[in-house]
Amino acid sequence: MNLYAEARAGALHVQVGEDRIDAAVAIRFKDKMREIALQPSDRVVLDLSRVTFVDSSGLGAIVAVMKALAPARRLELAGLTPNVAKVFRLTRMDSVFTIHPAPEAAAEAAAVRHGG
Amino acid sequence: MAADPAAGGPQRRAAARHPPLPGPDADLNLVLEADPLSVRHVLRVMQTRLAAELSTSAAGSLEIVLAEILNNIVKHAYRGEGGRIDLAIASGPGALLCRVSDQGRAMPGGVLPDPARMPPGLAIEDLPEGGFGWRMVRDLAQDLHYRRHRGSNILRFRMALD
Repeated sequence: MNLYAEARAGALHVQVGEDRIDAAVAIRFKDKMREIALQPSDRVVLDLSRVTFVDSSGLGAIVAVMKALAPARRLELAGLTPNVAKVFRLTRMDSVFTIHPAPEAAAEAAAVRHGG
Repeated sequence: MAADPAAGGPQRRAAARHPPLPGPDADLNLVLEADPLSVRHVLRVMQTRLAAELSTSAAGSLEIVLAEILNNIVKHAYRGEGGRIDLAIASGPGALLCRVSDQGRAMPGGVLPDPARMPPGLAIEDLPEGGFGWRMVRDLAQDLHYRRHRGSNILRFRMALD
Protein backbone atom coordinates (compact mmCIF):
# COMPACT_ATOMS: atom_id res chain seq x y z
CA MET A 1 0.00 0.00 0.00
CA ASN A 2 1.80 3.11 -1.26
CA LEU A 3 0.66 6.41 0.21
CA TYR A 4 2.58 9.63 -0.46
CA ALA A 5 2.05 12.42 2.08
CA GLU A 6 3.01 16.03 1.62
CA ALA A 7 2.13 19.22 3.52
CA ARG A 8 0.53 21.78 1.19
CA ALA A 9 -0.78 25.12 2.47
CA GLY A 10 -1.86 23.80 5.85
CA ALA A 11 -3.37 20.61 4.48
CA LEU A 12 -1.82 17.20 4.58
CA HIS A 13 -2.15 15.91 1.05
CA VAL A 14 -2.08 12.12 0.76
CA GLN A 15 -1.88 10.53 -2.64
CA VAL A 16 -2.89 6.89 -2.91
CA GLY A 17 -0.36 5.27 -5.23
CA GLU A 18 -2.43 2.15 -5.86
CA ASP A 19 -5.20 1.47 -8.36
CA ARG A 20 -7.44 -0.27 -5.82
CA ILE A 21 -8.56 0.12 -2.21
CA ASP A 22 -10.28 -3.23 -1.76
CA ALA A 23 -10.69 -6.10 0.70
CA ALA A 24 -7.10 -7.20 0.05
CA VAL A 25 -5.61 -3.92 1.33
CA ALA A 26 -8.33 -2.17 3.37
CA ILE A 27 -6.76 -2.86 6.78
CA ARG A 28 -3.27 -1.86 5.63
CA PHE A 29 -4.69 1.33 4.13
CA LYS A 30 -6.43 2.21 7.40
CA ASP A 31 -3.34 1.53 9.54
CA LYS A 32 -1.02 3.46 7.23
CA MET A 33 -3.41 6.45 7.03
CA ARG A 34 -3.56 6.61 10.83
CA GLU A 35 0.23 6.59 10.96
CA ILE A 36 0.53 9.33 8.32
CA ALA A 37 -2.13 11.42 10.05
CA LEU A 38 0.12 11.74 13.11
CA GLN A 39 1.66 14.68 11.23
CA PRO A 40 -0.15 17.82 12.37
CA SER A 41 -2.47 19.63 9.94
CA ASP A 42 -5.96 21.13 9.97
CA ARG A 43 -7.17 19.08 7.06
CA VAL A 44 -6.24 15.84 5.42
CA VAL A 45 -6.93 15.59 1.69
CA LEU A 46 -6.98 12.08 0.28
CA ASP A 47 -6.13 12.16 -3.40
CA LEU A 48 -7.86 9.22 -5.11
CA SER A 49 -7.08 10.23 -8.70
CA ARG A 50 -5.01 7.08 -9.33
CA VAL A 51 -7.60 4.78 -7.73
CA THR A 52 -9.95 3.12 -10.20
CA PHE A 53 -11.79 0.84 -7.78
CA VAL A 54 -12.98 0.97 -4.17
CA ASP A 55 -15.12 -1.84 -2.74
CA SER A 56 -17.21 -1.81 0.45
CA SER A 57 -14.19 -2.80 2.57
CA GLY A 58 -12.16 0.07 1.10
CA LEU A 59 -15.05 2.46 1.64
CA GLY A 60 -15.41 1.27 5.25
CA ALA A 61 -11.69 1.94 5.77
CA ILE A 62 -11.96 5.48 4.37
CA VAL A 63 -14.94 6.16 6.66
CA ALA A 64 -13.00 4.73 9.62
CA VAL A 65 -10.10 7.11 8.90
CA MET A 66 -12.52 10.03 8.75
CA LYS A 67 -14.00 9.03 12.11
CA ALA A 68 -10.54 8.64 13.66
CA LEU A 69 -9.60 12.21 12.58
CA ALA A 70 -12.85 13.79 13.83
CA PRO A 71 -13.77 16.02 15.48
CA ALA A 72 -10.53 18.04 15.40
CA ARG A 73 -9.65 17.37 11.76
CA ARG A 74 -11.49 16.69 8.57
CA LEU A 75 -10.82 14.13 5.90
CA GLU A 76 -11.57 15.49 2.43
CA LEU A 77 -11.42 13.62 -0.84
CA ALA A 78 -10.15 14.65 -4.24
CA GLY A 79 -10.01 13.27 -7.77
CA LEU A 80 -12.63 10.53 -7.63
CA THR A 81 -12.57 8.43 -10.81
CA PRO A 82 -16.00 7.45 -12.26
CA ASN A 83 -16.47 4.04 -10.64
CA VAL A 84 -15.18 5.25 -7.27
CA ALA A 85 -17.63 8.17 -7.47
CA LYS A 86 -20.40 5.63 -8.18
CA VAL A 87 -19.64 3.74 -4.94
CA PHE A 88 -19.77 6.99 -2.94
CA ARG A 89 -23.04 7.96 -4.64
CA LEU A 90 -24.75 4.56 -4.16
CA THR A 91 -23.87 4.49 -0.45
CA ARG A 92 -24.73 8.19 0.02
CA MET A 93 -21.23 8.78 1.32
CA ASP A 94 -20.95 11.57 -1.27
CA SER A 95 -23.16 13.60 1.10
CA VAL A 96 -20.82 13.02 4.04
CA PHE A 97 -17.42 13.91 2.58
CA THR A 98 -16.21 17.15 1.08
CA ILE A 99 -15.25 15.97 -2.40
CA HIS A 100 -13.02 18.13 -4.60
CA PRO A 101 -13.17 17.49 -8.32
CA ALA A 102 -9.39 17.44 -8.67
CA PRO A 103 -6.45 17.41 -6.27
CA GLU A 104 -5.43 20.86 -7.56
CA ALA A 105 -8.85 22.25 -6.56
CA ALA A 106 -8.35 20.94 -3.02
CA ALA A 107 -4.96 22.67 -2.86
CA GLU A 108 -6.46 25.93 -4.17
CA ALA A 109 -9.28 25.77 -1.60
CA ALA A 110 -6.61 25.46 1.08
CA ALA A 111 -4.56 28.33 -0.37
CA VAL A 112 -7.62 30.63 -0.38
CA ARG A 113 -8.50 29.66 3.17
CA HIS A 114 -5.01 30.28 4.46
CA GLY A 115 -4.27 33.32 2.28
CA GLY A 116 -7.37 35.21 3.51
CA MET B 1 -23.68 -29.69 -11.72
CA ALA B 2 -26.24 -29.11 -14.49
CA ALA B 3 -25.46 -32.63 -15.77
CA ASP B 4 -26.57 -34.26 -12.53
CA PRO B 5 -29.67 -36.23 -13.60
CA ALA B 6 -31.08 -36.37 -10.09
CA ALA B 7 -31.18 -32.56 -10.04
CA GLY B 8 -32.98 -32.34 -13.41
CA GLY B 9 -36.54 -31.98 -12.11
CA PRO B 10 -36.12 -29.07 -9.73
CA GLN B 11 -33.69 -27.35 -12.08
CA ARG B 12 -36.15 -27.43 -14.98
CA ARG B 13 -38.83 -25.95 -12.77
CA ALA B 14 -36.38 -23.29 -11.62
CA ALA B 15 -35.49 -22.54 -15.23
CA ALA B 16 -39.10 -21.72 -16.02
CA ARG B 17 -39.12 -18.95 -13.43
CA HIS B 18 -35.60 -17.66 -13.88
CA PRO B 19 -33.24 -16.96 -16.76
CA PRO B 20 -31.43 -20.05 -18.05
CA LEU B 21 -28.44 -21.04 -15.97
CA PRO B 22 -25.19 -20.14 -17.62
CA GLY B 23 -23.73 -23.59 -18.14
CA PRO B 24 -20.57 -24.96 -19.69
CA ASP B 25 -21.13 -22.87 -22.84
CA ALA B 26 -21.19 -19.59 -20.93
CA ASP B 27 -19.04 -16.79 -22.36
CA LEU B 28 -16.87 -16.90 -19.32
CA ASN B 29 -16.32 -19.68 -16.79
CA LEU B 30 -13.88 -19.00 -14.00
CA VAL B 31 -12.91 -20.99 -10.95
CA LEU B 32 -11.14 -19.20 -8.16
CA GLU B 33 -9.75 -19.74 -4.69
CA ALA B 34 -11.71 -17.90 -2.01
CA ASP B 35 -9.16 -15.27 -0.98
CA PRO B 36 -9.00 -11.50 -1.55
CA LEU B 37 -6.10 -11.54 -4.03
CA SER B 38 -7.77 -14.23 -6.19
CA VAL B 39 -10.94 -12.11 -6.20
CA ARG B 40 -8.90 -9.11 -7.34
CA HIS B 41 -7.27 -11.19 -10.10
CA VAL B 42 -10.59 -12.57 -11.37
CA LEU B 43 -12.14 -9.10 -11.48
CA ARG B 44 -9.25 -7.93 -13.66
CA VAL B 45 -9.56 -10.93 -15.99
CA MET B 46 -13.29 -10.38 -16.24
CA GLN B 47 -12.91 -6.68 -17.05
CA THR B 48 -10.46 -7.52 -19.85
CA ARG B 49 -12.60 -10.30 -21.28
CA LEU B 50 -15.91 -8.40 -21.19
CA ALA B 51 -14.63 -4.91 -22.05
CA ALA B 52 -15.85 -5.12 -25.65
CA GLU B 53 -19.42 -6.09 -24.68
CA LEU B 54 -20.07 -3.53 -21.96
CA SER B 55 -20.29 0.22 -21.62
CA THR B 56 -17.77 1.73 -19.19
CA SER B 57 -20.55 2.31 -16.68
CA ALA B 58 -21.90 -1.26 -16.97
CA ALA B 59 -18.40 -2.70 -16.62
CA GLY B 60 -17.95 -0.59 -13.48
CA SER B 61 -21.25 -1.78 -12.01
CA LEU B 62 -20.40 -5.40 -12.77
CA GLU B 63 -17.06 -5.00 -11.01
CA ILE B 64 -18.75 -3.50 -7.93
CA VAL B 65 -21.39 -6.26 -7.76
CA LEU B 66 -18.99 -9.16 -8.32
CA ALA B 67 -16.43 -7.77 -5.87
CA GLU B 68 -19.06 -7.59 -3.14
CA ILE B 69 -20.50 -11.03 -3.84
CA LEU B 70 -17.10 -12.74 -4.11
CA ASN B 71 -15.63 -11.01 -1.06
CA ASN B 72 -18.73 -11.91 0.90
CA ILE B 73 -18.14 -15.58 0.06
CA VAL B 74 -14.46 -15.28 1.07
CA LYS B 75 -15.29 -13.64 4.37
CA HIS B 76 -18.61 -15.16 5.44
CA ALA B 77 -19.38 -18.39 3.52
CA TYR B 78 -15.79 -19.66 3.88
CA ARG B 79 -14.89 -17.48 6.91
CA GLY B 80 -11.44 -16.71 5.54
CA GLU B 81 -10.51 -20.39 5.48
CA GLY B 82 -10.52 -20.66 1.69
CA GLY B 83 -12.53 -22.82 -0.68
CA ARG B 84 -13.68 -22.95 -4.26
CA ILE B 85 -15.82 -20.36 -6.03
CA ASP B 86 -17.31 -20.88 -9.51
CA LEU B 87 -18.27 -17.92 -11.62
CA ALA B 88 -20.12 -18.14 -14.93
CA ILE B 89 -21.16 -15.23 -17.09
CA ALA B 90 -23.25 -15.59 -20.25
CA SER B 91 -24.71 -13.04 -22.67
CA GLY B 92 -28.46 -12.70 -22.66
CA PRO B 93 -30.81 -10.19 -24.32
CA GLY B 94 -29.62 -6.77 -23.12
CA ALA B 95 -27.97 -8.21 -20.07
CA LEU B 96 -25.28 -10.49 -18.75
CA LEU B 97 -26.51 -13.55 -16.86
CA CYS B 98 -24.29 -14.26 -13.92
CA ARG B 99 -24.07 -17.26 -11.65
CA VAL B 100 -21.81 -17.58 -8.63
CA SER B 101 -21.60 -20.74 -6.55
CA ASP B 102 -19.65 -21.92 -3.53
CA GLN B 103 -19.74 -24.75 -1.00
CA GLY B 104 -19.39 -22.62 2.11
CA ARG B 105 -21.88 -21.86 4.85
CA ALA B 106 -25.42 -20.98 3.84
CA MET B 107 -26.77 -17.43 4.00
CA PRO B 108 -28.14 -16.84 7.51
CA GLY B 109 -31.88 -17.53 7.41
CA GLY B 110 -31.55 -18.74 3.83
CA VAL B 111 -32.04 -15.24 2.43
CA LEU B 112 -29.80 -12.50 1.03
CA PRO B 113 -29.16 -9.53 3.32
CA ASP B 114 -31.17 -6.40 2.58
CA PRO B 115 -29.53 -3.63 4.61
CA ALA B 116 -31.21 -0.25 4.94
CA ARG B 117 -29.87 2.78 3.13
CA MET B 118 -27.84 5.10 5.33
CA PRO B 119 -30.19 7.75 6.72
CA PRO B 120 -29.21 11.35 5.93
CA GLY B 121 -27.74 13.71 8.52
CA LEU B 122 -25.82 11.22 10.68
CA ALA B 123 -23.11 12.61 12.96
CA ILE B 124 -19.60 11.57 11.92
CA GLU B 125 -19.17 9.27 14.93
CA ASP B 126 -22.39 7.44 13.99
CA LEU B 127 -21.45 6.77 10.36
CA PRO B 128 -21.54 3.08 9.40
CA GLU B 129 -18.25 1.41 8.42
CA GLY B 130 -19.94 -1.61 6.84
CA GLY B 131 -23.19 -2.90 5.41
CA PHE B 132 -22.58 -1.14 2.09
CA GLY B 133 -21.98 -4.24 0.00
CA TRP B 134 -25.40 -5.84 -0.26
CA ARG B 135 -27.09 -2.45 -0.63
CA MET B 136 -24.97 -1.78 -3.73
CA VAL B 137 -25.56 -5.31 -5.07
CA ARG B 138 -29.32 -4.87 -4.67
CA ASP B 139 -29.20 -1.45 -6.32
CA LEU B 140 -27.14 -2.53 -9.33
CA ALA B 141 -28.14 -6.13 -10.06
CA GLN B 142 -31.51 -7.33 -11.39
CA ASP B 143 -33.41 -10.55 -10.74
CA LEU B 144 -31.19 -11.44 -7.82
CA HIS B 145 -31.96 -15.01 -6.81
CA TYR B 146 -30.33 -17.13 -4.09
CA ARG B 147 -30.82 -20.74 -3.26
CA ARG B 148 -29.10 -23.37 -1.16
CA HIS B 149 -28.90 -26.64 -3.05
CA ARG B 150 -27.10 -29.81 -1.91
CA GLY B 151 -24.49 -28.00 0.14
CA SER B 152 -23.93 -25.25 -2.42
CA ASN B 153 -24.87 -21.59 -2.38
CA ILE B 154 -26.08 -20.56 -5.83
CA LEU B 155 -26.58 -16.92 -6.63
CA ARG B 156 -27.93 -15.76 -9.96
CA PHE B 157 -28.56 -12.27 -11.26
CA ARG B 158 -28.60 -10.11 -14.38
CA MET B 159 -26.47 -7.08 -15.13
CA ALA B 160 -27.61 -4.60 -17.79
CA LEU B 161 -25.21 -4.13 -20.72
CA ASP B 162 -25.36 -0.32 -20.75
